[in-house]
Amino acid sequence: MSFFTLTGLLASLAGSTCLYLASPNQRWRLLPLPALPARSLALVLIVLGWLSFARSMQAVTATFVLVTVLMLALSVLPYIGALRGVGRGR
Amino acid sequence: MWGGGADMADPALRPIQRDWLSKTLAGLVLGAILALACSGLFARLNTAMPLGVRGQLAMWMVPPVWLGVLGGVYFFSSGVRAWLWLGAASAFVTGVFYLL
Amino acid sequence: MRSEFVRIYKAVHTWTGIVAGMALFIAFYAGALTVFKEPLAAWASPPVAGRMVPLADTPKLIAGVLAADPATARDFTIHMGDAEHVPGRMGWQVRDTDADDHDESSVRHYVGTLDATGQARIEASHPSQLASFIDVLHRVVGLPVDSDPNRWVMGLVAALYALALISGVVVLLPSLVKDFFALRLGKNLKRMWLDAHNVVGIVSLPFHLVMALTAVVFAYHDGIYIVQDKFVHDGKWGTAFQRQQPAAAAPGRDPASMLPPLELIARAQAFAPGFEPTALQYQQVTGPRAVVRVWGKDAAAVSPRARGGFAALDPYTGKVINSDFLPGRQSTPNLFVSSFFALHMAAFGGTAVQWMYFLLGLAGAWLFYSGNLLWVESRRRKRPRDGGEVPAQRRDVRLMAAATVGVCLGCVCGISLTIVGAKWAYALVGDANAWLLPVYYTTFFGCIVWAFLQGAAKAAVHLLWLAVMAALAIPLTSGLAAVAPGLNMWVNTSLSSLGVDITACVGAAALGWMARATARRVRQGGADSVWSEGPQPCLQGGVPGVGVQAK
Repeated sequence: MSFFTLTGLLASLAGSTCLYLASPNQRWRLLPLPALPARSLALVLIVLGWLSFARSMQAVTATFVLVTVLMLALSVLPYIGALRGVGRGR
Repeated sequence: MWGGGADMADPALRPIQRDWLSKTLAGLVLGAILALACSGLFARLNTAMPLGVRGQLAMWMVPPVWLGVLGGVYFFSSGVRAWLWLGAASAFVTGVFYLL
Repeated sequence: MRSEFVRIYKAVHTWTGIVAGMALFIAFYAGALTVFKEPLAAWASPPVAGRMVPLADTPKLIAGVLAADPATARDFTIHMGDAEHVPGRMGWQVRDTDADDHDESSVRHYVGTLDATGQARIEASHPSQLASFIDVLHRVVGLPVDSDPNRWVMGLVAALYALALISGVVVLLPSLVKDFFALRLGKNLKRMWLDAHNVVGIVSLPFHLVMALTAVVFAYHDGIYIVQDKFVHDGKWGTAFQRQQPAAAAPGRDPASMLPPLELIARAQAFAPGFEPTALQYQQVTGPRAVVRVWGKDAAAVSPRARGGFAALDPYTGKVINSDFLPGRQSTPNLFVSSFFALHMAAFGGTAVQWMYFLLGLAGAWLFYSGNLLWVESRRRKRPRDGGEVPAQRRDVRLMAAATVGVCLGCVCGISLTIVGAKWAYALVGDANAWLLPVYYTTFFGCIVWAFLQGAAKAAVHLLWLAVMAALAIPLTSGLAAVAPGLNMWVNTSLSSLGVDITACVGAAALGWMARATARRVRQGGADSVWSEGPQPCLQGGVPGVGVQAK
């Protein structure tokens, strides 16, 4: 895997996590992150992720890869959050 | 949504009939005609594209349109309205296709 | 939106989901594994006797084989790498003319090699069909053969799946924003299954829409082409892919004068930097329309097929004839068509995307499984709050719960045991391919029968533990082959083959966790449920011909 694919993955995963943690329905933390700053940061990270992917692949491919990461991460994060919430007794 | 339109009476008050059979048939039959006509229109409007890829794109258009219509058909407030609206749309697109 | 529409679409969602759900589970579980078709083939392939002909000697190999069997000139392949599932440097297939295009079982395989004296030899090869078998389960929702009628069944399932997606979104719309990302575990089990189902369904909706629409196209494209040829293309569709005849046909070309494979590879790479060739497919090399397809992958681009894409070259001059199927070099309309294939088959972005598709595929299987659990949970008869007798659960609910458990876990167990069986059958009886189908379907139907006999609750625990053991048997078989060479088995040590063993270990751990959680609910959950150990095997209570025990 190329360096820029890896940084793209990390940035888009971090962006997805911010997006989830800013949701009032998140169960990972006791309280959600402040919505506007966290969602802005998520947007910045996701855009950075796309730019990073686009350094190592064509723009169409970068877009497909980014959407794939977002779909997978945002499906799995609520499950991780719920299991952590159970661990804390919520 | 789809059930509104020409009728001037408040569409929110019109009773919604389920009409499972006639709505489903309208989606299946008229959806297929509409999808085929749309794909034909696409092929007519893109004659500059080589036949091989134009034909493939036209084929790929059919299932999304067909299933989209079949998926949306239950928003009509009755089976009759579904047949009328989708029939009109199919006739229109097919007519344009044959006129071009 | 009026609530009446939500009720109508809820009925559509329930019916399409319940009819197609279990078939889709099989398609998605087998499909997730099919992403790693090549590693599975590598895992199951016995070691090749003899050495691989060096790439530098391939011109001699090609010339020798074509002299020995001129019919081979029609279509043969030179493999660049030496992965375990590649039986030889030069391979080709002979297909029964009356067999279905997609039916791999009737194909005979051959390889060409050079013996110690440099003479070309032709041998029949029997590559493992394990990976294709799993792919067929994926393509025709668990049916055994990839034939036209079976594909039509699959297309119908895919169309119902598309309707289920549309109707599911309509049902979810009123609470979409409020409940986004919500997954509320707790006392309200229906709420929990609903959240668990919704969050996967709505977040991976683009993935599922692509899968549904491409699957419908894969099933019905022939029919659509025939109708469009009549009404849209004025009968000219048949000419769309014919290449023009060369002005002066040069008869009887000498294949010995073709450029060597390494030179052809170099030409293709010079044309498309970043393209990594894996195989050369030669077609009609002695005829006037000789062509070599340089197949390969490009992680930076969108590929038109699961195995990548190709540049078509003239094998005598090295000129690029066609780049319509070359990843990264396609015209926009061709890229559009390729994107549908790539998005279905994870043919973009390299290994990272393959892993993500594997997980999204498993998440899809979970979507259908949880959909059925939700159906069951919604129809639960609860014990009254003030105590009182535990009500009997509805019979259709008990049957649906048992069917879900039996079909889904039967597929999981069956595929694992088929993978294991591919190696054991080769060691014990020689012809491993003949045993794939009996092993899979015996396990599959055995699990279903067990689920109906024992009831969903008990069977779920039993079958989950069976699935754990079947998955563990995959790495154990490899380990046994390593320590006991006398068994006539083998262990392949490439990263992709070992990846199968490691993935099976992780899968076994995940299934073990599910087995323990399910056992806990069966023991400790409320007795007023089909998931309770209580005296409610699903066939009890009036199925004709089945002994009814005293209640």
